[in-house]
Amino acid sequence: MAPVTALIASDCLTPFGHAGDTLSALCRGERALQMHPVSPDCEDKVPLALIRPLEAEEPARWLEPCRELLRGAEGYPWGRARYPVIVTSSNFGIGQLLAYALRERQGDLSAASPERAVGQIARALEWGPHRMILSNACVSAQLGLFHAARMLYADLADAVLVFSFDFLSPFVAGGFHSLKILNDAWPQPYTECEAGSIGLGDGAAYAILGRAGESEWQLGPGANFNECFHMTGNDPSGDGFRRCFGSVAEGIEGRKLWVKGHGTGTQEAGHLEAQAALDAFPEAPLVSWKGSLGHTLGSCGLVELAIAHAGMRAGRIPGNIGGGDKALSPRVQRDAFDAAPYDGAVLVSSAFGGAHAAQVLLCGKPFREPRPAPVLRRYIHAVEALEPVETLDPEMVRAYRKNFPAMTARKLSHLPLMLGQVTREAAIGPDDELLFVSEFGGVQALEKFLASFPAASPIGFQNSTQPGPASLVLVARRQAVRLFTPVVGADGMVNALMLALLADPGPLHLLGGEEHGAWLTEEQLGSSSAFAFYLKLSDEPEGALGSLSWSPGEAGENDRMTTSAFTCAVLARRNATMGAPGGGRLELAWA
Amino acid sequence: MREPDLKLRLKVLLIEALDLEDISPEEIPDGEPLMASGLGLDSIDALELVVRLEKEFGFKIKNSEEARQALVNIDSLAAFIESKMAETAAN
Repeated sequence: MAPVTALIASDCLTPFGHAGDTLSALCRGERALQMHPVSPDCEDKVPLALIRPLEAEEPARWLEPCRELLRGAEGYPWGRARYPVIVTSSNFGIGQLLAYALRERQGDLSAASPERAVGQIARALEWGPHRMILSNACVSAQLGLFHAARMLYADLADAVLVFSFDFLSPFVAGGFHSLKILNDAWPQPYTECEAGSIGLGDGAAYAILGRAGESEWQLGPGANFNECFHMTGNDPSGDGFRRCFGSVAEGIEGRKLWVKGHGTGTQEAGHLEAQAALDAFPEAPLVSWKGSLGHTLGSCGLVELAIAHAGMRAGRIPGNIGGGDKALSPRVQRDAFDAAPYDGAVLVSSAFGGAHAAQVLLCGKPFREPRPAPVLRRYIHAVEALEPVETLDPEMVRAYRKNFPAMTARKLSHLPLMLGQVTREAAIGPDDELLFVSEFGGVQALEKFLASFPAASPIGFQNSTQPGPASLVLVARRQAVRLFTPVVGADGMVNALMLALLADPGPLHLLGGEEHGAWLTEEQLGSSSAFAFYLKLSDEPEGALGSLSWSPGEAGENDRMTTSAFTCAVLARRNATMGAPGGGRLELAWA
Repeated sequence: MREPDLKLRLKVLLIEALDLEDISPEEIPDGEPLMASGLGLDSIDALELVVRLEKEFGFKIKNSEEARQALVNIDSLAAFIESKMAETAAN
């Protein structure tokens, strides 16, 4: 469970405008979604809520809206020591990458990866280098909030800016259209229908978090659970939803809350979520705003937090928009309602891989802090690594495929195959945490998906969605984990090590690697080698093979640690010292 | 109009769309479930096949529920295709 933090400020941008304008429009029951063609090559009309037209632009269509939104977060030395920035999205720069793949305009590549997209925003806003990029599909923003809380609780920050943006492109619309859940029907969240449907929306949002007590608004406790039952479906027992809602409910006894659910409009997930919400919070009104705004994907957790925050301050909460007569729960609240009787809200997001995340937004009396501040040292109890090679030879591929059922193995590119190999004997439990770090991610799957256009491939979409390589392994094994955090970008390795030290006591699995791409590697958007590593960490010193720790002071000579360099240090059992993000040094030491 | 080799054509398409290198059309019984206990495909495989069917036969499957009903086995898929083709011919 995440510690409690102060929510100092928040705002969002949707087709209706900022949080206040969006709140007003939602309270009036207005729908931002409109029917648009999926892409220039596919005339099927689907519900999209756009801030700007869908055409690929240069600079990217999200850059100016994001800059405009983030002016509201000025006044802090963001990206400098003690003021980290966490940026999240489920599709950083992916629209630019598809645009380049289709028309080969070199300018499109300038923002065509998470690192480059965030770099453009950072330069525009003069952020410092203390930045972290997280991406776990549609719970990305919730993960950002969760880890910001941990940084504050460990006193590694005075304030954290969590920013998320997801702007649509034919890549994303084409992908969801290929899954047949983005179709020609309007989404009807929490409504019994013959067929489910979702809408998609542009959205960006930020939250400034401070230490508990610095604002009357608090965020937390947060909870996560990753079923890893299926990439695009949930465990039909509803266990994943139940665990996530249940964890939050345990931490907030005695508070009167309403629930903003995930509620995209799909049938199976809608039933499971509505029931889990009813079981955990029997009296709480249940709403979703995705029937108006569409699903703002990796940013939905933050966009909807900003709207909930604005609603609680204004005293009026929007109802469930777009729902029909046959509600899936008696608590589905159709009309806008008065916020005054409520202490706060439970805010839930869900994602591919059966990932669920929840946060509580609360006004008034502070929560009791749930646990002591972390000791920034972890001990290494298991190690596996595969030496960097240019690319896997067919014999390696055949050998690594044996770790999976044949029907699954045929769909896996090199990185998930290597991750499967290094974790083949890992004892991962459903209450454990798992960190996955990859600078570039599954570039082979991405190249394959890009090549499938204009007839977008569902398998390509599933496999190329970050954090595909690790998710695919977990899902193939039906291996649930409590908290699953994928870290990306050039500084992903040191950021992942830092997050490992902030984890709860107990087992933590750190997993990483890269796969060799073709044209993406030529464009410096993919790795030039293939490798993987796995470490099992815990707070137990006895029998440890080594340790990972943080200490204040100057960094050593290895200022930057790539995933490749880290893998080599692990293979050679070589000690290493690195500059920690935001100051201090990280040390990898072997017994 | 009934296409005599439709089921064989569908089996070949399925093998191609999903890279099932080790399976021949004869090994796919008409009534065997395509998902879970049968061939072992999952719902994403089924959707991959849908993309290929749409391209091959020139019709659209509206939503995931319609896809699921069509893709129970080769018999149901053939019946679905025939009804779609009849629909197209009637229009």
